Amino acid sequence: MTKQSPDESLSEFNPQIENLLVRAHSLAAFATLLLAVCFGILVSLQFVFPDSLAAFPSWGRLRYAHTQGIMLGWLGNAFIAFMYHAVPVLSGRPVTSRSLGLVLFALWNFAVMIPGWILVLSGYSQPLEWAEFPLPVDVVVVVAFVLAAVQFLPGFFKSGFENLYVSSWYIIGALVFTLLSFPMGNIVPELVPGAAGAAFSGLWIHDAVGLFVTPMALAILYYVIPANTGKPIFSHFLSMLGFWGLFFLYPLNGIHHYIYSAIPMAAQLTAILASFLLGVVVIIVVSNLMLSQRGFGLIPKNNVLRFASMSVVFYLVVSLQGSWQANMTFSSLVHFTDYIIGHSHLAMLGFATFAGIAGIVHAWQHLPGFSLNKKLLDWSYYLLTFGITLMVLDLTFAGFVQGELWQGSTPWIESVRASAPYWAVRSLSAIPITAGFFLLFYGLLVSKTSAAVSDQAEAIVSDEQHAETEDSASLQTSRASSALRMSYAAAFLGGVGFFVLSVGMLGVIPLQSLNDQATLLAPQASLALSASEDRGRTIYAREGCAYCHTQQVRFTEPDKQRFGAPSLAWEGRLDTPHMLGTRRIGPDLARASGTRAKQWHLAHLYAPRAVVPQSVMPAYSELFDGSAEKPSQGALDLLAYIETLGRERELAWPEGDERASRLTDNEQVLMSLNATVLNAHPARTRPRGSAPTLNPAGSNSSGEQLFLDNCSGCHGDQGLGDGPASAWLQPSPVNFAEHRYRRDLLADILFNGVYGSSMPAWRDLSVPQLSALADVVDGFSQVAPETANSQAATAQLSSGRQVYATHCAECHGDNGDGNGFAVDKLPIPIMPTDFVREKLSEAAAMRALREGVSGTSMAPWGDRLSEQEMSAAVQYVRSLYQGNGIVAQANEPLFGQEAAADD
Amino acid sequence: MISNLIVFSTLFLGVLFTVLYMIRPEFRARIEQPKYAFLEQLSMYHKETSVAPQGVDSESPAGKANETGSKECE
Repeated sequence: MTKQSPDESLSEFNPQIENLLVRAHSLAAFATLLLAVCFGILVSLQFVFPDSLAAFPSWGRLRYAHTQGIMLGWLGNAFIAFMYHAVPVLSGRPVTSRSLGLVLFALWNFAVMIPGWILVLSGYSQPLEWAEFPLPVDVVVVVAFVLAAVQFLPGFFKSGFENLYVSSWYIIGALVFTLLSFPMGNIVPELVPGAAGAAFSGLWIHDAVGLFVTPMALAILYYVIPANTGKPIFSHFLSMLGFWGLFFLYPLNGIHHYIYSAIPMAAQLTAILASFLLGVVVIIVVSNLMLSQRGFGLIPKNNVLRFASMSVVFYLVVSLQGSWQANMTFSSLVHFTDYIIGHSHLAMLGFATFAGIAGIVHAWQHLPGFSLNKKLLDWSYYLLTFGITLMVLDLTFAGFVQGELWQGSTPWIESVRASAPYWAVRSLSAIPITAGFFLLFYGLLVSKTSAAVSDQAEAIVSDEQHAETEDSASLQTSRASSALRMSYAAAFLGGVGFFVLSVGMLGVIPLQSLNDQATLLAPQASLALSASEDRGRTIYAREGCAYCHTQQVRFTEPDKQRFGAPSLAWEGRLDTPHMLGTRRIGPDLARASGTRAKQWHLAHLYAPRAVVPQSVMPAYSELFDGSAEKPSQGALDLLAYIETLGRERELAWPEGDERASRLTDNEQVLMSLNATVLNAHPARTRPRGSAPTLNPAGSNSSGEQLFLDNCSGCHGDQGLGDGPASAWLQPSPVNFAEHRYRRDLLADILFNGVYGSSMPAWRDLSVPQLSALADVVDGFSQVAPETANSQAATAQLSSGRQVYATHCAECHGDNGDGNGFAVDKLPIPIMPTDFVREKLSEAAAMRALREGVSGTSMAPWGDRLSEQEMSAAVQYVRSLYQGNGIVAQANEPLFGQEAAADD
Repeated sequence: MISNLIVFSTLFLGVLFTVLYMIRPEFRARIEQPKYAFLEQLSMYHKETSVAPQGVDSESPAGKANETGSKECE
């Protein structure tokens, strides 16, 4: 490197700017921004009008296109446009080559953005946050970053490190460190499975913001603030302290996205510590930037300063949010909620976007022959500030509501319902944001030459400042320069060292630790995915399922109670790339195996709101041939994959957990092994078993809402078994008007589900909630609890008892309790009706006897029994009912008064 | 252990940098110099290009002193 004094540098000053490339990248930035915002709006509308987006690619694909469009399309182009303006001024030299610039422009937009979008919208993607474009596109991105480094960096190295202004440092840092971190975050997780892959992925999630977006945004702020105030920044020392602090600490933050996960606690604590320290660094940076604008007010008149000033405010808020989110208690509350979505929007659409706009507007107003349309820019500023503030506040409150609901036993769907108004406001906030962007774009496009507006205080160095500069120059000594050079060199090496340290500590060491743990604790026999399951996994990945359903039960009490034993590292040892996820709209699926019946899943995939009325899940009807009963191979593959989630841990239990607990003294692992919950999903359907006593709840208002939210999709609003999903389920959902349940059986069914049918277990509801629900079901019944007693009936019962003993008792049991000797041999594992605790109406019982019950082992008897025999058998089984408070005599049916309402 | 390394090395470098800044006037002047040089560079850039920055602050003499036009490549 040729070292020059500042005076020598200035004497060779040749800031030739490639205006064509400034303009091209600016226009590309806004074009990609508007498209990415459109994708984002569609994504948000899914939550408000979940059935109205069938004509578009699925939600997950749109979200992939949205995030990559904002980061690479909008911010990437904006930063490059700014660099074309700033680097020649900062370095005093033109960029390397216009031709190289044209190649870079073509690569960035025609080999990254357009193919990337086409591929993810077509279903070719990688399910990694902020790394969704597929691998071939990632390779082009790396090549583009190399070209960008060649294009922009050489000028800086000619003038010597000690003369570099802070913006130059940030530009160098952003390009160098992104080149290091991008391949790590985009390629390594494709090779490393499970939690270890997630560790690398987490590093990139944060590095994308911390080592690419933030440095470039700060480079812009440190450039445009002095350029538009006409005053030097408050302190170059503080700016350098902030620069090195940022590059030292940011790489260490990434694992804070996986607090309470299977990743070793040492790595988590390191990330938490670094996150707090980073908050201190950010305060230094923000203080310096705010002091650099002193005297210009909170809303400066200058358009560029306005955007820069608001960017600084957003930076302070989002950074303090980030530090605080790393607090373990706070993280356990807000992680996976919309609070995080608000945080990321504040970072990318608030801080970085406002800085990007400041950079572009500043560069654009220096294009020859252009002046800005101040009115349009003013409107844009106010609309964007209002829209983004509204969105972030809205999502922040939504996050608190969701987090609070997830702490207790509230049904999951309650958090979806409670979020609805917030999601509507989020979508509405897109109106001012989109209008603001459009006005900004339009304002730049209609900019015209006007000498009258040439009135800004930019770049005026006062006599006093000149004198100060001269004084400071006179103070330069070779010793000071040498010390500065050495300190910068040491800091640069330190920065690179910390980056390597971060990858080692938070990526490589956890990888080794997790591999060792998996080798030690995993079951000896590995359950690799079948071909069908593997295809299903590909569908799960391409549709972005992991963006709404995590696959990690955290080491927190609410997670354990709701989803089962915390996830251990070995459970994801075949999961490449990982699907841990960072957001929960729907419930965690780490233990999804066996929690819902196949038909339930198919109906839910085909028409989610037919099954769960409050659901906002996209319908995947393209995986079916016009009906939930006609799944394509893709739907069956996806279902097969879902059934693998948690399967291996469950099969290893309890022997596996006992064996594992003997092999390790790792406290984190033991916490999972010794969890007082099953290692299957706590709400998994299971054969009849113990259940709590459900006393009458008294008020039915909560029960009715629970019924509408959780049951009406199958059983219908009035409990007639005619819900929208009922046509696709076998056995058909029960028509409660034709059934009466004894309270203990109802508790059993609600608590344990009906094993083998689509009726799930509702153990995630509290006992009072289950009681309220049982009251509602009771209320639907039109079957009288007691049976008529007459001479004719008595004679018929005797005949019916004989029919029953001959044809029914082997399944339904000698005394009608549904537990006959053939139960274990039934082809469909649904327990036969327990006539002691369940009474059917006469019509329903005759229908079942005559036609059989589809989807169960109950065969039709209409062709084998006469009408009289069937009628007698029906009377007999109805007489077996021993309702609440009705005491049976041994082996004798009870006879009571037939209610007029019966049948 | 590793957390301690991070804390102490970060603090050490930060404190070292700050102490140097406080006790060495020539270091202080040298480290603050780029912010003035940057304004010089901006000024020279505007002189060379004669491009008036467009915007607000209508009373500022800076913009009035500049004239539209450019030597910049297109």
